[in-house]
Amino acid sequence: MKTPVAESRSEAASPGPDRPVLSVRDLDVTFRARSPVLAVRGVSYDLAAGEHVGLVGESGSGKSAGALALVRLLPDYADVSGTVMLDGADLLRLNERELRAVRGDQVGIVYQDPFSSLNPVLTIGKQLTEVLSKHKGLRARAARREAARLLETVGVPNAEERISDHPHQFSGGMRQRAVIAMAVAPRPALLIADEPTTALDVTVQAQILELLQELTSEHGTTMLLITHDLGVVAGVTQRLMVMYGGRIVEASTTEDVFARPAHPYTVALHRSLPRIDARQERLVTIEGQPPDPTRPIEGCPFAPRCPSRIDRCTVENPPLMTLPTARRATTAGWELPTISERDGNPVPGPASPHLTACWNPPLPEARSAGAGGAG
Amino acid sequence: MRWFVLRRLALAPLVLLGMTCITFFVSQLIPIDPVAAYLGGRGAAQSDAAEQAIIDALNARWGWDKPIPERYWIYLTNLAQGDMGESSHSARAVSTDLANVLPPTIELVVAALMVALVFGIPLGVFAAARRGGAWDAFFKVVSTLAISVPVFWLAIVGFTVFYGRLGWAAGPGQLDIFTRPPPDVTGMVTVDSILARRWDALFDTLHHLAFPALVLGLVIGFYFARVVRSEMVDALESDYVRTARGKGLRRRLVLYRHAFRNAVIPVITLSGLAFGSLLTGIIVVERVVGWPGLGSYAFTAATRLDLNALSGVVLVISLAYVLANLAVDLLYTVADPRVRDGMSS
Repeated sequence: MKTPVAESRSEAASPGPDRPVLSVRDLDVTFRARSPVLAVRGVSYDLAAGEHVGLVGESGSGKSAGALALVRLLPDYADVSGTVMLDGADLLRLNERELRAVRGDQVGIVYQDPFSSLNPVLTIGKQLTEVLSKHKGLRARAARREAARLLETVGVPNAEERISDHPHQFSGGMRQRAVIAMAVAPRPALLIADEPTTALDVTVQAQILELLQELTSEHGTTMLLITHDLGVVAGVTQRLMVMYGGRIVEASTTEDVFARPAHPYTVALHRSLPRIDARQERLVTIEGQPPDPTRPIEGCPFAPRCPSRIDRCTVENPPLMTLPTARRATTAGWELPTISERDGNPVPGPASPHLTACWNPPLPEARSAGAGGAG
Repeated sequence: MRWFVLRRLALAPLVLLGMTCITFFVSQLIPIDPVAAYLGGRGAAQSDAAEQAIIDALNARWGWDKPIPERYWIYLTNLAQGDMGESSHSARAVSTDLANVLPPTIELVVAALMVALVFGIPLGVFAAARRGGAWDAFFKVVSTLAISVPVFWLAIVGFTVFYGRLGWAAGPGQLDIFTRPPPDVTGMVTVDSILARRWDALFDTLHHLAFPALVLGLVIGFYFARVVRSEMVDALESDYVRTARGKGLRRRLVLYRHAFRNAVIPVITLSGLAFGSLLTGIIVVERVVGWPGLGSYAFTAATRLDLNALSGVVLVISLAYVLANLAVDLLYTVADPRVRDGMSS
């Protein structure tokens, strides 16, 4: 039942894995309300075995909704459509019982706020052992021993004793360690970490990231790390997907996203980061507002705020392209196909006077010029 | 933990003292001569000299001719010796009367609470699990009706229909007049019947108990159900329930182990408050079905200006309140580990 996990992560850096662990196509998430909220609008991506992929974006960009929708953990008023293939099964079409076998077993989840994601009236041990008895069939004593071992593994001191503690007796970092222990206990194929460090002290954040890194690497677990903090994903992930307005606007290797951002939004995001090597009077902000999630978007979601906007941006959404593809395209004189976001079909890379990567893959030497965004 | 209980128990006499103060002075506001109220019609038939002797005796004992603060002091010193005075309508010591009327009331309260818990809590969970659905809407309508209907109306109409018309409910009292009562040990007929192995009496008294217990139990039960539902809805939308679902746990486990264990904490507090409505309900319901308990006694005492009896009733109710709140606090420590730790440290 469990997906065999590849030992090597050699292909991890490649943006389009050949045999993905998780394959998401056309994921839409809409929250029913008087004016429905279109949280995720047609997102497609693949995750390879053992790779660590970051999903970044500001609040409201749909990153958390998109991740929790994978295992249908959203409230009842969320409509989810598309396909989510994991181990040959479409998670969005499983019945409740089949889905329960996947949740917590093949897909582990680390939540944002360890102060609210643990049940206050149950002991840490109880909350750990219930995973073990559900998915590993361990009973009473054995489950307890395994729970203590797991707590030990995630770095909780005196695990044997602390297993009978309640969450309020744990610090924030310790709670998150316990949550991680619950998530990795059945050795899931996929670990979804939904802003795992946002609620924690800065000093603890690094420890938690290191722990996640360590545990997932050890077992070859694929990790989808969701964050609004570019600093968090920098050292942990091989690939990054940047979300804006419910869409993935850029997907590339972490290195490329940092060194050679292609989409104007990513570029703007970079510029808004405070820099340690420059004296700044004010932090740089992105002018304007994120798109209204209750309205359909025509064209590019970032167009109204984009310094490189051309007329075409307001009527047509530019194809999602990854930088390696873009580079390949440039060497072949704009002829090579790029991958469109919505259907994954190759479409010809169009030529235009627009200098950013949206419509025109930048020339390797013209990267910085493209990033500057002359429109 | 032990200190907490002891401290609370040590505070109880102070609370009771406060209650005596309030009831005493409020009863003094009633514009009647306490002597006349006490003697009522009994004094009139006597000769003047005899009447005067009785009045003098009463004044000597209760100081009814003295200023109010002094009267209060006399009342308190008598009370401290366990003397609550005599009831004018039963002509017995109030303490004796209370000892007689308490057991039937305890019987009724326990039965009503059992009814309320057994149907109210699962009903609230059921409605919360189907929130937004047709059953939930139906529950909302029915429970709103149930807690809005005055208890006296429900009791009178219910009794008329189920006893008077249909004959399903048993008649007034605790036992049928043809049933030989079991020997009086605890004053609670159900318990006494079991002790004496009098199964006919047990069956009969349960039949009598059923109607008042159901009326009270339904009203409180629907109140519980509404609180449980709203707390469950909150819990079901919480992050820890999402975590539990994310673990792939069965629906029942998520519902009862994760959501309910949290939802029940505020329910405990509110059941302490529900105790108040239970007491007012008891006065009405006992009166309607002729249940010889504290409620009937309080009703008679109030309508006949039996001030000694009334003060006694108020004291007993206050004590019950103190104990109920202590029980609530103790239950809290069982249900909520955060409170438990807060108290030990």
